[in-house]
Amino acid sequence: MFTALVAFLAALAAYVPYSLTSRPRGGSALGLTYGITGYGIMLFAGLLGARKKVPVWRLGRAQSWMRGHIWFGLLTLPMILFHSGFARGGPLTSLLMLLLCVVFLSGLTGAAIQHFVPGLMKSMVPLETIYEEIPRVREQLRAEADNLVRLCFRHPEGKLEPALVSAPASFPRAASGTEPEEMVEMEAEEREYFRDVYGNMILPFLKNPGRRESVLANTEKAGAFFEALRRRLPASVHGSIDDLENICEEERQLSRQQSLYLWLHGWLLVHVPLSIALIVLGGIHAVEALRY
Amino acid sequence: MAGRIRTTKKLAQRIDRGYFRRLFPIPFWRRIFSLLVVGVCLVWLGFHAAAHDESPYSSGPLTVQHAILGGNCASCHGQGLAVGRRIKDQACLSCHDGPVHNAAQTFSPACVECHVEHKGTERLIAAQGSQLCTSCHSNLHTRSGKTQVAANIESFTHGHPEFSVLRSGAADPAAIKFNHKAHVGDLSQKCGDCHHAGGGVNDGAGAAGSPRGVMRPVGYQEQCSTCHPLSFDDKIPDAAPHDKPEVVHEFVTRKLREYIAGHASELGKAGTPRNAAEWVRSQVEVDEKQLWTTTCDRCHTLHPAAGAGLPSVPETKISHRWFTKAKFDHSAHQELQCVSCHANAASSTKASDVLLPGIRTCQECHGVAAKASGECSTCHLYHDWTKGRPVDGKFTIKQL
Repeated sequence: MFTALVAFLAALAAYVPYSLTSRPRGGSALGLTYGITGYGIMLFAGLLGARKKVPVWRLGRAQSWMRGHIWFGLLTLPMILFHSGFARGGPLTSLLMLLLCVVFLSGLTGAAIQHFVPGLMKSMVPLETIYEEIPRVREQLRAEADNLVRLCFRHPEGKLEPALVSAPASFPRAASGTEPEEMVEMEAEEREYFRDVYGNMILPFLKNPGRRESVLANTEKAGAFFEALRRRLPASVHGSIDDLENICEEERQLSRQQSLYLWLHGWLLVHVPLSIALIVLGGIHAVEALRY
Repeated sequence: MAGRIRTTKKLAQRIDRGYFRRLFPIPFWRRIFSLLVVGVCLVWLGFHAAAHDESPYSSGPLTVQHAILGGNCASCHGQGLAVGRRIKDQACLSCHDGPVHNAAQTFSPACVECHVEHKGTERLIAAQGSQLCTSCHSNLHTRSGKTQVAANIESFTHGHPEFSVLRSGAADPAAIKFNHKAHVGDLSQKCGDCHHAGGGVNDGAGAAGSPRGVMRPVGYQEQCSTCHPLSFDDKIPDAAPHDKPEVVHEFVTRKLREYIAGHASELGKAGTPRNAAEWVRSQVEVDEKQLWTTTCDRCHTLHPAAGAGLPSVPETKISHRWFTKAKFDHSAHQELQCVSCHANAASSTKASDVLLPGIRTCQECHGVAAKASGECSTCHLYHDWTKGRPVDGKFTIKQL
């Protein structure tokens, strides 16, 4: 940060007399210096992406690269403004200036998001998992819930009722080892009620946890829902109900994680493509400017 | 029944260890957008390149005068790498004349120092700041070592001398009698009754660099004849022409001859000649004496001829341009009252009074921050267009 600040002040100190005594333009010696410096910083900032591709290389700590990316990246806008003399220029340079402004602003936004959202993630999603594995984890949670409920619905002969089996065959491990030794005892009416609640309330939520209209999508409402369920059903299934409540909570956290992840990484959909375009077009501008 | 227990092992078992090898939505779309954005930009540049149009690389819009050159950078910039190179004067002079500023100047800036392009279609390309002018004129040196203008002008408000016609206390050289006070004060005439702007911004001398918005010369026929007809005889309704004495004499003689031809009964009356020729001769003498000594003399100081000849009228020498080295645009000042600048006009009784406002009047607005421009180019031209030469065109329509 200190280096970037010193560089900015030095650039500003050179620009003020330069702009007062002559007409600033990109082709002058100082204008070219600003342009080359600004473009060099853009290339350096772009190397952060390359650095992430090879995390095992001993090219400095990732944190140092990120700090350099942010603080030197902040220098690009004043450098290019000094280079252009605060003029928009022609079609290509106008496009470059627009790209630079959007990249600069999206970068600032991203830096702010990356600063605040991880803390939110930590407090709001204690059960955070790898984002890309969320669909897979969700399938396992559903299989786990199915398995829990399936064990509550054994026929007296020991056969499982097939109606509630929703877990795909590819996730047998999640179910294995969790089967209780003893059979859960329930009245037929209670079993029918449990079946109805699971089939119409819990299972639809687990299949589509993004549905906001479900009472289980809300932590407080879900707590009241499961409390009522526990009051209605015998103590023998309270353990399973607790586990189902826990599974629903994990589902809600995964939904929260998905939302926060979109904030955390969505801005890159703007920042990265426009940065690449900026570097490519900046190179073309440099070549053409040297021609004329 | 035991509750759900999350052990590290159980959590690890949930994860597909090869997950990072797959491309997930955000990284996937990031790549797609990157390719798309860069691709669109390259297609745009490629489209122009295919049409041999280099306008995307322009550093800004050209002025309308140069718009025809927009897609052909080399027409001004030349070919080859331009690192450290500026547009040569020769590129400009192949189409334009650029007469020297002053033969004694010690430094001549390159054309592009003043004529800046790529700054917008409407902007006057020569309207640059005063720094370039004052870089010499704030401490003026000439090849001869002598200077004919002020040598330490830092700006319009610092160092600029009083206008030359006022500096020496010179009188208006006009050889004519005119009393502004009698017209404006006593007769309550308005300035605009006699003084009219040219009707356009560039109506002056017509040549490049001519003054803009100068007042049309005041002429007898248009401004004076209504109130001051050149009547010479009660018997003749027509007024004499405002012309040389010879023409006036011929007109008066002809009119009197025509009159007596139609009024022969007046011949031979008491005290009058008996024949027409003599009547005409004596009447011409009377009428012309009235004209020369009273009517014409109201404005002109006639030089009497030796003997019986006609008098001569000296050249009036009415100044149409007071600023010989600057331009002035009345139309740009039309919201002002005339007397706010020409304060002495209403009280002036002699034509020799110079009614031009002094530099302090101009400095009330020009050169003062946020009021009016005080740049040198507001009033002065750099090139001495009296030394301008016609340019022979070198290009064909297709070449442009």
